[in-house]
Amino acid sequence: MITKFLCNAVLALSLVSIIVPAQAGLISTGDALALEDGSLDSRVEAFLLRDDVAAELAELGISHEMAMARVSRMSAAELEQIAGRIDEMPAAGDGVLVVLGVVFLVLIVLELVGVIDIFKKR
Amino acid sequence: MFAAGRACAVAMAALWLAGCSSFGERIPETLPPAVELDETAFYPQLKHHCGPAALATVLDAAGSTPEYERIVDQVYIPGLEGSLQVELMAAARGFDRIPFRIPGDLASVLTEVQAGHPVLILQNLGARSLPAWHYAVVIGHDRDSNRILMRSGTEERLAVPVGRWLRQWDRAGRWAIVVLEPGRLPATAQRSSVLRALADFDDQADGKSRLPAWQAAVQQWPDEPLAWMGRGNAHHALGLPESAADDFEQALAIRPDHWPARLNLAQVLLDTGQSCRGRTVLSAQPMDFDHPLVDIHAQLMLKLDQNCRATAPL
Repeated sequence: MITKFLCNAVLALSLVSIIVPAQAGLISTGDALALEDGSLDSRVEAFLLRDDVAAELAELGISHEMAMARVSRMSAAELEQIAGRIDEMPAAGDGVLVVLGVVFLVLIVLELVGVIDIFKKR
Repeated sequence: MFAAGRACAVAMAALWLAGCSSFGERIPETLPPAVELDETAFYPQLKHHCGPAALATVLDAAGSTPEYERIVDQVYIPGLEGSLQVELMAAARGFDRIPFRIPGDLASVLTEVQAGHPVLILQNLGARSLPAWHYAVVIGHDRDSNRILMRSGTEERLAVPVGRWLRQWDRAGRWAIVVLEPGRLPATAQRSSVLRALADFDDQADGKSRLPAWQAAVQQWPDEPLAWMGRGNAHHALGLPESAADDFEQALAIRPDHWPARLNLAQVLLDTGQSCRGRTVLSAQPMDFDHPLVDIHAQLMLKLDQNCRATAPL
């Protein structure tokens, strides 16, 4: 019992604690959930992605300070989801204009091919 | 503003002309004939700002009204001229509200609306290969005309036929969220997604906001150890160790091998000078040697043992 105990203690001292505590001393509910689905390690790794994601946001025109504040509110899963592929994610802004462009192109093609005749001079 | 509205109309007409009509879906009979959250605020979208506008709309409905510019600062990405789903959720937490992903079916969306929760959705107004992403907020439905009602872009009340609405939502992965005040849960609450949302909120929020959130979870699922643990952590954050200890004990009564709750209980007992009791709590259940929390267990046990020996009479 004592040896196992000492063994654990040595182990504890030799390992840097892998848990991200929500507040001093207590295990967070996020860690508890991650423990249940066996994703504790990847949760810790995900939080290490914060700097990378903030740098990506900064490259897209956000101040460094604001980018850090924004990533600090992301969950581990959210960080994993966007790290390295921010420009592949749906970034909704004003969807309509793109569609309008396409419609216009289609109309021009149809006009050129002669299917429709809406741009005719009168 | 007028131009954008007209552009939208042209786009809609184009989609209709393209022949992709009729999904054949109808508003579920289990819902009332018509629902409209007509008191939902309207934030007309400025250029590229459908993300901030939609988020402002649902935050307002959840009783949070930050300045519009602050929302833009949290979610708009100039380089992309748009906003990401992830950032809408993260920003909601920053404004002390909890975002919940809801199931991707029409009935769930309309059930939330019926419960008074406007639903923020992502749409693809373009084609799958040529997407045109857009955020909008569902505020109701009307069975007679078979339409979904939304605050969308510059349209204060946009009524879209169910079939088209479903296609545009489907092409965007059927993504839908509600944003609620701590203490409220989605009407379509699924345990795992609610627990996930609350745990993510925990990483950001202070005890004052976390307590009502977990209180609601405890009421909804009194047999869920994580809910009790969450309430315990919130009590601890508020400087109420006795209440926290009671909550952790509840979690353990449901699941004795819930190690996070057991370790937190032991920590609280250590902090409140009850080290011998804490040692008993930790010893009551054997921990596997390869358990991921074994180092925390060992550290805590060491401290409890030392303190207990120092205080206990020989």
